[in-house]
Amino acid sequence: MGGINQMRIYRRFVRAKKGISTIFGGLFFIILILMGFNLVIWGFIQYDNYNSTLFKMNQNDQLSASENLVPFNPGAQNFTSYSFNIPVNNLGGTTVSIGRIYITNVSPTGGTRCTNSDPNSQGPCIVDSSGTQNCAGNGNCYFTNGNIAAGEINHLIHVTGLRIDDGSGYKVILSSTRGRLFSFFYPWPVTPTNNGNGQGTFVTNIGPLSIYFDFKSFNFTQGFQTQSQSAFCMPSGITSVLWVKLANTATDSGVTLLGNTMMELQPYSANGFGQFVRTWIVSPTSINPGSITAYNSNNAPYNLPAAGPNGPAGFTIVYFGGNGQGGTGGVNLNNVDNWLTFIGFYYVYRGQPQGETIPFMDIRTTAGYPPPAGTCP
Amino acid sequence: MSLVKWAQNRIEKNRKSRRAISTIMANLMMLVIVVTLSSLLFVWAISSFGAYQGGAGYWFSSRSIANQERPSVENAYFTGSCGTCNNIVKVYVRNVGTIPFTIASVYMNSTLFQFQQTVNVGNVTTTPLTLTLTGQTWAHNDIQKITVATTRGTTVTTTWVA
Repeated sequence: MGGINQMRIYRRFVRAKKGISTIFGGLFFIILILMGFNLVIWGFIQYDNYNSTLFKMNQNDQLSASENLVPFNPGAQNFTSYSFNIPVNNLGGTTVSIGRIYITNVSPTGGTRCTNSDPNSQGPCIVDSSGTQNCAGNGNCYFTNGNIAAGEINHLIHVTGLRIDDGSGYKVILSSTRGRLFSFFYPWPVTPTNNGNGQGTFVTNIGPLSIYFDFKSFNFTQGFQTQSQSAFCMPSGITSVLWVKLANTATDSGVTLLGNTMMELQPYSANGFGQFVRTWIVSPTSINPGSITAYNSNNAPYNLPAAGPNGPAGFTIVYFGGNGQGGTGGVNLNNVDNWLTFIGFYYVYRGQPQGETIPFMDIRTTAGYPPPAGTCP
Repeated sequence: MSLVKWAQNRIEKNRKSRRAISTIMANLMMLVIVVTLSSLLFVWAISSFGAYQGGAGYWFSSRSIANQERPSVENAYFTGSCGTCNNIVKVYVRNVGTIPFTIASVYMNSTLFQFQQTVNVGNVTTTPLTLTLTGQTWAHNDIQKITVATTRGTTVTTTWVA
């Protein structure tokens, strides 16, 4: 029986149609298929790794985009000898960490701090959390309290090593560790009000003119400042340019200011007319003492267009800083005092010269400028 | 014994086979052709798959790494070598990504300035990237476009008012 079985197996083997080449071919085909699968799986793995990297970085980008840090008025406060606070609100959806603060002096006034001319900073003042730059010559500048939780309001970032309340205009950039920038200008810029509406609360109407006297409309600049500040409290002994905002409420004619228009200021505590300080209007481009040019009513006049049926066409800011009619030089209030102020407007209205005087305005000068909030010592 | 007989008969049959030498040669030829073609196919498949893996692998890995770069231009300071020269721009770049990168070039309004400065994660350029303009100056209140490029090809473009 055993021999018969062996013979059957041999016959089956010898008569089999599939040869060794078929087996090799099959193996070869299987190997190729496996290699293909391997390649596909490898591709999936690579693509998955790539996607996971993309996903991770996208998450970082989303966190970065959800940062919303808002510095608010006055921008810098609580000044001490060499430090101040920056008040901010975190209105975003994630914690914000400040990585660096750049402070750039964009309108140097009485000093070159945080400019290229400053031997300490040789450019913008750089304030790191670890303090890497002696930015103002008072030791390394650094900040603390730079992590602001989501939803936190009135958070104070404490900056040490310099102060920025010297009258210059500073651009402050808060740079977050995720690469977002939040910036503001100090002193905090004023915002014009009423948009030329002559019926505002702090408006004097004389003749065709409306003269604005709210604390955001009667301003001054010093040095090369391009952003004005309220002139109801001014530094004493500093050359300045005064800004007054006007609107023409007459509907039948425009108004052209003449070079006789001037301002006269008398200190309360001084006697005699010799104590008066007088200044005349200067050209419409004289926004600060560094850019004063004389006023010429023929070549570059202040023209206030006639009002329309809905009110004045808009307001015009008039600059005072001439040391005489058609002069320049700025205005300097040396005394620390209150100043009784008159403004005489002389203009052409309906083709005829006409004049009005605005009396009894009061401003104050101080040696300790800028003063603490709400005071003018 | 029966198995031995059966084997002898079989051998005798085979010896008397009518198949000629040409059939054998044909089989051999086919065998050679098949083996050769399959070998070529195998080699081609191996090399193609390898080339694909090499190219795709390099692309995925390099893109994955480059994608982790995040340069952030924090500040651009416009100054000059003299009072009114207006010919120098200092650029501060922070690494807010997850890997270090090397700054290769900075473009200011399409003008190339070459650098070689590595910035580690979370850090800012140790010295500002100083662009010294020749034959041109920046103008106050003009918009300046500054593009920073890394050696891996990541670019970030920002605009600043001088």
